[in-house]
Amino acid sequence: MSNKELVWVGPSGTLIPTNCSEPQDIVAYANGLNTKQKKDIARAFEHEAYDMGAEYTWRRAMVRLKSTLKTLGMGFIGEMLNNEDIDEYSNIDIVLNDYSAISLAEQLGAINSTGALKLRHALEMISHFLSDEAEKNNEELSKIDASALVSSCVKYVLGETDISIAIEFSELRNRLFSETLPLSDPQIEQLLGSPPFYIKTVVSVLLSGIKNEQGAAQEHAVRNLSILIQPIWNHIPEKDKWQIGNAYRDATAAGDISATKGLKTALLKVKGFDYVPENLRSSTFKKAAKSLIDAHFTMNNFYTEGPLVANLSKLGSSIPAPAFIDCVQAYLCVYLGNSYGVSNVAFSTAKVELLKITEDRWRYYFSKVLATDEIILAKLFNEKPKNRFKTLIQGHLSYLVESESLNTDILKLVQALNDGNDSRISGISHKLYQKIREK
Amino acid sequence: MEERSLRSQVMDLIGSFLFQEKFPNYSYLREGILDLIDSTSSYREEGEELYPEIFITNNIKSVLETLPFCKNVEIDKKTASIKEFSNALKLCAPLSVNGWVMYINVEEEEISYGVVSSEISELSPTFRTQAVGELSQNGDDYSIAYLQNVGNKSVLLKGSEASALIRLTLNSKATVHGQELTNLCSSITQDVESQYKEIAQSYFEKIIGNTLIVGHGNLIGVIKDNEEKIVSLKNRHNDGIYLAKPIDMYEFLAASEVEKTREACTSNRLFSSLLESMLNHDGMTVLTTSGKVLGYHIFVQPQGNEESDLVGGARTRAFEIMKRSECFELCFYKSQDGNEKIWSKADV
Repeated sequence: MSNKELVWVGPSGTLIPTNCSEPQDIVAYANGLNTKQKKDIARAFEHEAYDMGAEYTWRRAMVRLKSTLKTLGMGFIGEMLNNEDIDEYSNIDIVLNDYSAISLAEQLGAINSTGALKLRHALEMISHFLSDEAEKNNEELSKIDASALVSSCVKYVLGETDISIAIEFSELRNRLFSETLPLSDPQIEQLLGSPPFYIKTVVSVLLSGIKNEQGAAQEHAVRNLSILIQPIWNHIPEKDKWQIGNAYRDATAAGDISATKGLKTALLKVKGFDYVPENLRSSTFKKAAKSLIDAHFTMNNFYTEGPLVANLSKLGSSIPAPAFIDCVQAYLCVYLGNSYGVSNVAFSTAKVELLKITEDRWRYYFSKVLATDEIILAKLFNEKPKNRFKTLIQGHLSYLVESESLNTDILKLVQALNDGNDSRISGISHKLYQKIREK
Repeated sequence: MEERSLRSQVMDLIGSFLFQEKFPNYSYLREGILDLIDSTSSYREEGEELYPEIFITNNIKSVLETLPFCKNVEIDKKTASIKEFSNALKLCAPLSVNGWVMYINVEEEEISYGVVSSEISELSPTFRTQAVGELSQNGDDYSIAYLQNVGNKSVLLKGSEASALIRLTLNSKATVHGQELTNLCSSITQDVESQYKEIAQSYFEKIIGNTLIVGHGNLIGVIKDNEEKIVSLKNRHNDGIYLAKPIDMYEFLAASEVEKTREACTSNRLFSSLLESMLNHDGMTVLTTSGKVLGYHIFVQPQGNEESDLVGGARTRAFEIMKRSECFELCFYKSQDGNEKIWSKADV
């Protein structure tokens, strides 16, 4: 499927001439910055203050991205991130970290997948070079790395005077709240043939409508979920099934009869009540896991992960089912680290907790979750995390190689990890990652 | 000599109800339910009147599957018999309070019984709403019958499709608890913010509905939340307690929904319990159309020009005076024997 056939797609960015490699030249294409800001950045690079120039460019890019996202309403952002702590009164700069802002911008078509991938890489790099550890080791951001960062920021965020959410996405969102769409609707037909990335975004949009909208808009969201749930149920990630179950529980707790009724109807159609949390214990685990993942993707993560992984592990090893995916993802993030290494303080705790996970739960993770776990799949693109994943499989999870329940690609990935075949690991993980977004 | 038996009439009604609800044809079931209806129509334990909520199903597992957050305390499992229904009632009825609902799960040879609660917050819908009310959607997986004494020796029997009100009284004027509840609570939430209006109405229905069942008569007046109306009310009906600071029930409810903290939840629960007690106190309780409690224990005095045509007991006369006092948007009355009356300014 070409990009044109997708329900919505982010822009491919501002064209920067290939012969333009000096940061101070690239920044001239940043139409989203004013003259003074451009001059400040250029001056920093002319004085070889690469980290200063890169950090300032990065900050400006993130401020722009977040202010664009903010136009959709913080309640909507909270639902898209499956974060119940974010509501209309939340401050976007406090509650939305750079990693989530990039992911959300990609989801809503403000930037395309390549842009998101490059910005995530830039984030990892800037976070490392601005960390205490890099300072202690006298590591400095090189001109080449700084140029790459500035180039990504300008190309995908600062190049245009105005960045916006994909028009096709905004239109579909409006229709989902203002019409009851039949399965024969061309846009819905197109959506149903789309990769999980798009379907899960629409599920989050509908859940946000059911929770935050009122009157006719809420009714349309409820009816549309009820219509869509059967054809999409087998194509949405496990985490999103839990999100629907959680929404049903929340609506019941809030006494919202219309939302409860709609979600109950939807869950009945797919017999999805196994995905409704029985109690609030799982929320505590999910919050602790989320804090750890947030810390993993922000500055000084090698220091901040330590106490947070300890907090999560203190909650106990009997992780409730609704929080299992979040917890294993958090522990894996810490265990696999990033291209610059791992947090020495947090690593051993994460390893101990990962080894406590039972065989049937690992089988569940590999058969139902990993294929749509873009955070962990993206870890395999880098050398160091890939090597640590190989160690985990070879040392403790080699039984998965014989597993009949795994789908073909995941089984091949596990075999490649077990065999230490780097090129195959890379090829398969990229293929799986693309499959979430492209056909 | 013509002979008409109340028992055979009710047995026929239960039979047709069970048929419509597609209950299996168990030999003991019809008579077991008849016994429950008879017993609950005026049930007392240790001298205290009880109003247990009961539901009967043939597949408790499926009922609870759609309510995974439901708490289930199974009390016993016995060989199925008519007598065992009475035992179940004796053991479970005293436990069916504060959100707990008694259940009997019927099978060919055995019945099991206990209590369940589907409430996960003070705002969550009642089990009745979830199982046989607005939220019921049981498909073909199970059959369900909900049963409760609704006052005046009347028992409500409700399923997913069919419902019946079985009156074991010869009083033609008798009404049942809660039939005017929706209108009353709609008036109390008429001017609250639209964001939580629906939730607020359900919440007041839950609190006041519960109050009406256990209370011995009530008088409720609803007025517009404006200074002029309140001053006029206090002048006209001055024999009672007006709170220096009205209790804003809507504010507590909204805070509980927005903050989702233990403190907000506890405040909400405490003030709800206070409102229940005020409503069951002697005299009139006054609420505003924005969900505030202005006062309680207010004795309604005649103005002087209306007494000639006032008849009935003290509460009936007070209701008539309230209607004519030009203070209220809506007046509600429930007598000691359970009859309800409502008057709305909008309908005049």
